[in-house]
Amino acid sequence: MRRIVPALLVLLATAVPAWAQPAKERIWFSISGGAQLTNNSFDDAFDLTLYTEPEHVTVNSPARSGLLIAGSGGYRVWRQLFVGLGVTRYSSSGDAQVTAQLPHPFFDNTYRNIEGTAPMTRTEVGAHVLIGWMLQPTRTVRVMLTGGPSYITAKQPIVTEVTFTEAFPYDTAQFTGVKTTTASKGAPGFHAGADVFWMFGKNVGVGGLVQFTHASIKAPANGSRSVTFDAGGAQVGGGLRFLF
Amino acid sequence: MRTLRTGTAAACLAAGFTIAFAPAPAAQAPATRLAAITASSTSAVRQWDSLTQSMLRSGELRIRQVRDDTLIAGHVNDRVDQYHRGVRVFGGDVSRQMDSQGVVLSLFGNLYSNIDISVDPKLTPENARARAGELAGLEQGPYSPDPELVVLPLDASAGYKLAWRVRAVTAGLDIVQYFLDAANGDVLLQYSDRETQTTVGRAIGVLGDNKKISVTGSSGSFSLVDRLRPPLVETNDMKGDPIRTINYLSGTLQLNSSDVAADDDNNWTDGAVDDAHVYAGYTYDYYFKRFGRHGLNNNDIRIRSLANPVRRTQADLQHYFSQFPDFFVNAFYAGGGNMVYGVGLPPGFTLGGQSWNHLSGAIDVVGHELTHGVTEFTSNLIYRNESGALNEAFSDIMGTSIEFFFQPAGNGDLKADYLCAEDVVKPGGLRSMENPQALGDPDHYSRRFTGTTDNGGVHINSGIANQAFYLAIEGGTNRTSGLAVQGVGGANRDQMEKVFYRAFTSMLPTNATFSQARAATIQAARDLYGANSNAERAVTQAWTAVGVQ
Repeated sequence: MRRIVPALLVLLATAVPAWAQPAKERIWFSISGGAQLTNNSFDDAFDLTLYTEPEHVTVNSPARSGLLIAGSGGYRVWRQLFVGLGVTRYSSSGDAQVTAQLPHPFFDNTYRNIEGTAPMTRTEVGAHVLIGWMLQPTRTVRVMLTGGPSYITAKQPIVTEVTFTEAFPYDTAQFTGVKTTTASKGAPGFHAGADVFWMFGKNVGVGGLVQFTHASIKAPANGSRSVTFDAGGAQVGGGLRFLF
Repeated sequence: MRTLRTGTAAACLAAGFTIAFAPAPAAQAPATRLAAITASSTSAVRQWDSLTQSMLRSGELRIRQVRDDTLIAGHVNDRVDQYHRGVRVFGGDVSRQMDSQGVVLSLFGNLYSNIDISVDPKLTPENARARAGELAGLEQGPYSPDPELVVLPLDASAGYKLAWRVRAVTAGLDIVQYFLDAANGDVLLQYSDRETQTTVGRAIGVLGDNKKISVTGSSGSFSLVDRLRPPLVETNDMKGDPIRTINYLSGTLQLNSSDVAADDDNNWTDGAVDDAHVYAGYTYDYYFKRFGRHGLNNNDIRIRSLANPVRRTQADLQHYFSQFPDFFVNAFYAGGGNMVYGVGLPPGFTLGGQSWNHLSGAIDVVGHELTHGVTEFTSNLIYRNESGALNEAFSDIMGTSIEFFFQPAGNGDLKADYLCAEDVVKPGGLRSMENPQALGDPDHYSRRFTGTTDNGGVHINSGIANQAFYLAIEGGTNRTSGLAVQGVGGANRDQMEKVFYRAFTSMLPTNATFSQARAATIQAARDLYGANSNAERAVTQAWTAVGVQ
């Protein structure tokens, strides 16, 4: 983010201002690679029953910055107003931090604390309805400001159980892993952003994208339990741009 | 990359297979394992059969087992295992059900694909066995099962690893399957292979206290067999049958599974059996945690408790008391790890001015009786005269120590104090270590009982050693001698427990005297805490205060 924003500013500063100049192109396509920067790691806590008592489990599931692939396209419907569709895909892997308080098999109110990590991968796919306003600062530069509704689907492993080993006299236990269920759930949200094109050819150019997307997803976990987490976030990327 | 061959016929065909599993739910993830062929999917059976035949010819499948179907005459069932370059794929197998003509009627199984790993292990089987021994905390001998080289499908579609599968017994007596990376010995997977249905239930004790209880069983049928602890801890409900109880104790019959206390919802409400079971487990725990001892014989002999030898009713009291008084107002160690707990007296009846509840309801009573078992397998103190009094005293000392280990100090039910059996024999209990004379027992050697009753006063003269133990911990003045003792203090009670345990289990001869007990405990204090230590001083002063030289 820190590198992209100055680059965009430089690009805009070196362009000859011609803000009023209307875009003539009717169709645009773009494809970008980049990163989703927002940390959407979330905490989860739940109780299971172990040895007739509650077993307390807490999980911090990672969803940090990760690879982003974005594509979009649209059609000019009126003056500089474009409408179109966009798709983003984000994926990030990391270790979930898991802790559990395990009841003792023989004694009430006697807990063994264990902790460990479990690898997890979050995948998000966003579908975006783009409503854009295209500006043409110079002959070769376009700035597309977009916003609109989104629908983001996340594939997120949810911890349902902690596995461990224990042996007599059971005063300690050792974390061995987790059992998970993979929640695949979507929710409506929104997006807003800007895409700067530099057209080095008649129809082809390169561009840089900065946008923010967001949705809050409520996903089913074990039993009747559900988990709510944020999806989307600040996204930056660059790639090819096509104007016709 | 690992994939699992399963799903619909179309999916399998698309993946290059010539046979199809029975339909799986369309929404199921690709890693679904079970593929069931139904009678209606004849074409799928034919296709799968074709694939298995092909794989059998190529050696990718090998027949493991062929059995006649005992339920359908003439039918045969077999099982085939999946192999990769001659190494079994763990979890990859198919069962086939065939008619008398050898026609396959159905198949069930899991097969893995895209396996592309070397089958040359860097670790030898001996390396693997040794590594498993390290992990288990117990060396695995040459007669333990041979390690098996397998292809292990990793969870989360993470591919395959060549692994040694080693079944090992752990120091905690678990049986663990280790899957060790054949390249470096890393643990790829492990799980307990001890196939019991151990569980934990809730129990109400004699005094109405709610606690956990370790049992065996599953839905609808639970029994008081504790397999969470290293020894088998089993509690039998004799259901008010004194004759059966006597016949078992005399060796004329064996107990069977119907004698083991049972419950259908795992909420145990018979305090007599509940406490006998729970406190037997606690006693084992105490000996293990305090002294590192593995049960009564230090080799995890079975602990078998017998509760309810009679009914706690007026009718049984009138009918059986004269013949079996110990089944009412006593608890006793019957040898070989067997304990019997009296039921007490029906409400409204007293003995010696005291009411008697189920004897198993007091943790110090249970600890006392089981300690007789420890004595049996150690010093085996002869149960008469001074050695007998020391035998009884050691049981009182350990019973009280167990009470302090698990219960908070204080007065009243479920509180730790220096009274014996006070939770079930009221008021006052059976003996006092703090003031033996309060219940008619001597607190000084000069007051010892010299008659012949009670095996020469084993339950009477135990008061002398009990008082010494009390004074060595708590300090104070002996009421008879007037001599003061500086104890080690309640916070250091473990020191005296270890001193007496060491002396009474490792030093005393079978026909020990009080004087030898004094010498042994002083020596034990020196051994454990050094000459001139507080422990040595306390125990020396204590024996002197009670008149034992």
